[in-house]
Amino acid sequence: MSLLEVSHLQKIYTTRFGGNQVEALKNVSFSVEPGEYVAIMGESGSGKTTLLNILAALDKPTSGQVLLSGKAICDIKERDMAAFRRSNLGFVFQDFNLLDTFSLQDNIFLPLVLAGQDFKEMEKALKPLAEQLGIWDILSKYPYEVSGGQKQRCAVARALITNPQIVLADEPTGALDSRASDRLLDLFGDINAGGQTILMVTHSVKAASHAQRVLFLRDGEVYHQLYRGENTQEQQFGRISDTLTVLAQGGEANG
Amino acid sequence: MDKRRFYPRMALVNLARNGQFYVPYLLTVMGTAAAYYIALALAAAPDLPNSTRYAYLTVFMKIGTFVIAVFAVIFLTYTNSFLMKRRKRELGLYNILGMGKRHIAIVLGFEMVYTAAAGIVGGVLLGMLLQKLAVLLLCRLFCICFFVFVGVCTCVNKFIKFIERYE
Repeated sequence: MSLLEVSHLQKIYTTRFGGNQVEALKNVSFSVEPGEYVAIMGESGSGKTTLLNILAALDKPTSGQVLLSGKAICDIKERDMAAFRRSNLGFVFQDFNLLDTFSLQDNIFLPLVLAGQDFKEMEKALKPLAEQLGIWDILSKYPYEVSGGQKQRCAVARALITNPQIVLADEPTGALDSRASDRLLDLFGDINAGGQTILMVTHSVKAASHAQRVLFLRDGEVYHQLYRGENTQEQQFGRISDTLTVLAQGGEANG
Repeated sequence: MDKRRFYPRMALVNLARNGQFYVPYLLTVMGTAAAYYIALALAAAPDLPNSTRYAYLTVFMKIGTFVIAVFAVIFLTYTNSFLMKRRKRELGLYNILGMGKRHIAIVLGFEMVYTAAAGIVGGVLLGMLLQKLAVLLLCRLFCICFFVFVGVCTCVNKFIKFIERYE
């Protein structure tokens, strides 16, 4: 069974008095298997963020359904929502969203603290994660004292510490320089190799080329998808940029 | 971690962490409480002479306390909404990281209770101090008025007598 199943998702934004209607998502269907690493690409306005918001249960679709391990996330009541997000979803944002008033360690612990977990268990969970992400030495520092790459790795640790079923990443490399991006993408690869399902929304061809599968979104529809298969990352990079070129020219893809 | 102890603790930690906004806010609450206390004290005004001459003061001060109360509500609501706007990001993150709206409301409720308690107790203490000062000032004001009044009366009296003599 698929881990995440999105079927016929439609989202229409209406202005308050029912004036303008914008159809952000028309008919989006795809599924994600456990342990997969999927990237979603598309131009601005193609509905990427809307899709991610719906997957994160921050927004409700107009029609269609999202199933996470067979459970419809749109049907979850508001009062159970927070607990659901906490135990099933991990978030990585473009602008890190770390709290400046917390040390990095406290930032990472935040979801566990909110879940009311024991401090000793938290520390046990943190150690291997911090070592894998290379932030063990800087845990006592504050977000404004470390670099963007370190901040993002810390945010990844925060997303992973709850052992979520799926990690949702919104442009994780968007605010990083190329070296920090490379390091983060390598880490994403390692984490995925460890069995973690990752769904990443991105503009960057390079980021997408690390994923096992790339979905292309255009005008609120899944336009095309590319499996990486046996291709190397460089080959995949080429294939993605070719597809994007075709997409931008408005023609039919044949990849 | 015990759930019941968790919320009050988290509220305290939040207040301490947002100290740079909450200290001025607390001072504001204290100032407002002190102002209200002084106005009430002046309205009661037991240390003023009980003659009819001062009766109007009590009435005016009672209206005054009402006005101060209305302004205090508007002022504190505005200050509080400003603070909440600053903390929107923090609260949103709590929500995304798995804290329900109800739980956020509980934490904010505890924060409010702490600020209110500290603000009112501090405000009343501050008011007690300043109220003595206010009464002193008021008496001084009355004395000055009295002397001026007496002075003017004597002058007028003398002037009239002066005119009478030369008529």
